[in-house]
Amino acid sequence: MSDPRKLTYYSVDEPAVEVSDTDSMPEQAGHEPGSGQAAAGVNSGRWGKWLALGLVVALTAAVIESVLMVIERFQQNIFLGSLWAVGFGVIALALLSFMVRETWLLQKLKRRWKKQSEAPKPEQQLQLLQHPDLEHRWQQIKQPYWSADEERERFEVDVLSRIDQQATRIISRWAAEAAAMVAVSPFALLDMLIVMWRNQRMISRIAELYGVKLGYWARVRLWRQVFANIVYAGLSEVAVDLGAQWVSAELLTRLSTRAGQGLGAGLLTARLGYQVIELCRPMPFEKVKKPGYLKLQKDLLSQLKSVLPFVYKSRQTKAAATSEQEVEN
Amino acid sequence: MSRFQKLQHQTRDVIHRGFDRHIRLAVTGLSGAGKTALITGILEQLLYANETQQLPYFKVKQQQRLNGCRLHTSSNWQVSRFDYEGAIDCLTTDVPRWPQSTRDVSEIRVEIKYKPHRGLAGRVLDTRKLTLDLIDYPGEWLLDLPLLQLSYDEWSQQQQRLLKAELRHKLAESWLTKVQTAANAASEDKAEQQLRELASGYRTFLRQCREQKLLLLQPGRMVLPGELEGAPALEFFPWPLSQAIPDAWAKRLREKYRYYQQHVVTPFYQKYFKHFNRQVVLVDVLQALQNGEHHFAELQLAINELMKSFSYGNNSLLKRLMSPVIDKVALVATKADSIAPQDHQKLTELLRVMTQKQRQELQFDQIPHQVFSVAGIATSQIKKLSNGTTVLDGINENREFVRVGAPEVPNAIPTAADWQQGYIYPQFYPGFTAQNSPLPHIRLDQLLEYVLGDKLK
Ligand SMILES: Nc1nc2c(ncn2[C@@H]2O[C@H](COP(=O)(O)OP(=O)(O)OP(=O)(O)O)[C@@H](O)[C@H]2O)c(=O)[nH]1
Ligand SMILES: [Mg+2]
Repeated sequence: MSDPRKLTYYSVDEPAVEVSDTDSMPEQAGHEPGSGQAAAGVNSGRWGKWLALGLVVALTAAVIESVLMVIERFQQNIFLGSLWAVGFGVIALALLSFMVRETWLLQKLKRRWKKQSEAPKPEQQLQLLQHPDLEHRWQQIKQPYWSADEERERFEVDVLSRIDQQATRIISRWAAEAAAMVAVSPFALLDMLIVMWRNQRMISRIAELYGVKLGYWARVRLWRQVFANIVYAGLSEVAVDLGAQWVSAELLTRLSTRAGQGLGAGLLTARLGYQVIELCRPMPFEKVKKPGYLKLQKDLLSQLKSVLPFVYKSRQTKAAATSEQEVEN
Repeated sequence: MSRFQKLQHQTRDVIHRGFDRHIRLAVTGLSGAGKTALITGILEQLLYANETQQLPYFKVKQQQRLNGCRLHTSSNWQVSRFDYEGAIDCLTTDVPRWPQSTRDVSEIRVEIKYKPHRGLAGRVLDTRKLTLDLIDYPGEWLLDLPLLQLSYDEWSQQQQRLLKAELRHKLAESWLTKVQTAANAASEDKAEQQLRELASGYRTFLRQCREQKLLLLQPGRMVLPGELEGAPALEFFPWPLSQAIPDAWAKRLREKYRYYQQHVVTPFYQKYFKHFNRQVVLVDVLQALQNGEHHFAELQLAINELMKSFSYGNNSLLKRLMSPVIDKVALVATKADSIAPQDHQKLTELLRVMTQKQRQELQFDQIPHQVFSVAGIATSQIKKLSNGTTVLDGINENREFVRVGAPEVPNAIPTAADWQQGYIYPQFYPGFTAQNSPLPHIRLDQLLEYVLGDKLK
């Protein structure tokens, strides 16, 4: 490096490794935080603190109480006392390990969200994803001369998009199922609730695809984030959705109430699913198009057509009486 | 082949052009820019596209819509075929070497068969063909094209300006004194003889310039005459002095120049360069950096002159049939395998700055253009030492395996102080065997996607 007019030669016997990750250029600044970050600021705030304080006090009281109780039992009868002690010990241990696992998983999810906005390298992402087959594929297509940006692009388009595809397929299936279920049920509102509850499973499946393990709290946190995103950050997206669905707005007015409800449930499910994708993806959508609703809507409608005899309004009145019977078959 | 068959062949070309299924790619670059290597690389990647993982950016391949590619002779049967096999042989024999500097024009055609992606064609046809024509020629001749737009006097003025530069002036000194003395003794009856001698002196000067790696050498046929060796058509030179041309010479020099324009350059242009509709401009930035400030400036000037010789615009249907123009340009810094990957960005940036003026003009005419750094044939392996130094493993001119620390690439046009320091880049030789197929490249997939991608949808 001393004299720029001379090339520096190195011994060829020295061990050298194939370049697996080229240094990124300094221009790589952190980019737009993903939607995962969007509502992160919405915090429980003051109330949460008081609540936590109350809980801690109550918990301490409970622990002291139970210790006192066990001691009392010991004094009465050694055998019974030790039984109680073992019982409490096991419960405490279980609780503790549960808590540790929960915090760990929650921390992992949070760390992931933080990372998502830091333009992680493909190798880091692969670590998060835990898909050995994709790792193999990445090794195959990766070129040593790529810049960090090129790497990210190729990784997203050639590797990550495969998971996106699987996730989108899952969402389509669940959305269609939800749509059908709500559409044929006589208690649409109730079913809506059931569907939401069932969506838990979908969320776990998607999260799993992206290598995210969900504990209870992590799940709650995810749900909260999902809703927060739908309500707060999703506003602009809703506008986009409306734009995309604008063609079919006229269609919506023609739909029968049943089909409308079904479609609504389906779209809501899909919306949940897409949110989860964005939250679990190790990087935000850049070169790959976000999964869209347009095709989904078509799928949903065709699904509805297969379960509902009458999807459109005009004929619904005529057939209102018979429809329920047919549905039962 | 019968006349009829030939006519049929050519009619089909016109029809293809009308339907926009025909790309004539102008691979433009001065001598040593890497045209032959790039064309070889492009052919190699296309022919083996379906057997390699090396082309992730080439969408038609990546979406698995590529049926395959096949080489054809071009419709221009008077032109020899580009010796792709010979080039590959050179690169993969027992003692691999680069193909030799090109001495004559050659042409090759690739037919790319693919499945259309969308639109009406996607529904109606199951496969489609795109024809790609590639032309290889000696880089020296390229610099003749700007002459078409210059009169003898304009050209002479330009050359006089060039001669003021230190290096050129030194090389030209003895020739200039000869011109001076001969001009003082110019007479009608000795004119032919005198001009012939001076032209031969000018040719010696051009050869010396070439040895010094200067680039803007005109007329190109004097450097590399081809079939014009010793022909009287080459007996002229630009008027180098500030004094007026002696009357006895003026008419003759202008006439010879005009003859050269009309009978040497124009046919060359008409035959090969007129029908281009896409362009790849190859620039050997690294070599110019290594050669120094003067060469660097001359390279910029040469690119500027060159790009004036092509017509750019949008290809409407009528234009496609009559006289197509270039509707997309890729500006390419070659030999990117001689530097570290993290410096590719700098190389691209440097070329971007060098071609700023041309890019502005393209921008103004709304011609899509993009800058790349590419290696048609990549000859080095990038490694990292345990202390983090990036090194390039390759083969040097003595066929020894060497390991070179990644050389420095400037961030911007070098300053005077930078030129004082100078730059140097390794010159790697190919070290392939027949098993290395397809040969490695750098970023050819992005280049292919840019140049062909929109026609392969
Ligand atoms: N490292 C490296 N060197 C290259 C590459 N391409 C060309 N070169 C070098 O550049 C020299 C000239 O390349 P050519 O392809 O013959 O250049 P050209 O533009 O065809 O030159 P002319 O035929 O003289 O007009 C070669 O001999 C190589 O030394 C490349 O991709 N990588
Ligand atoms: Mg050549």
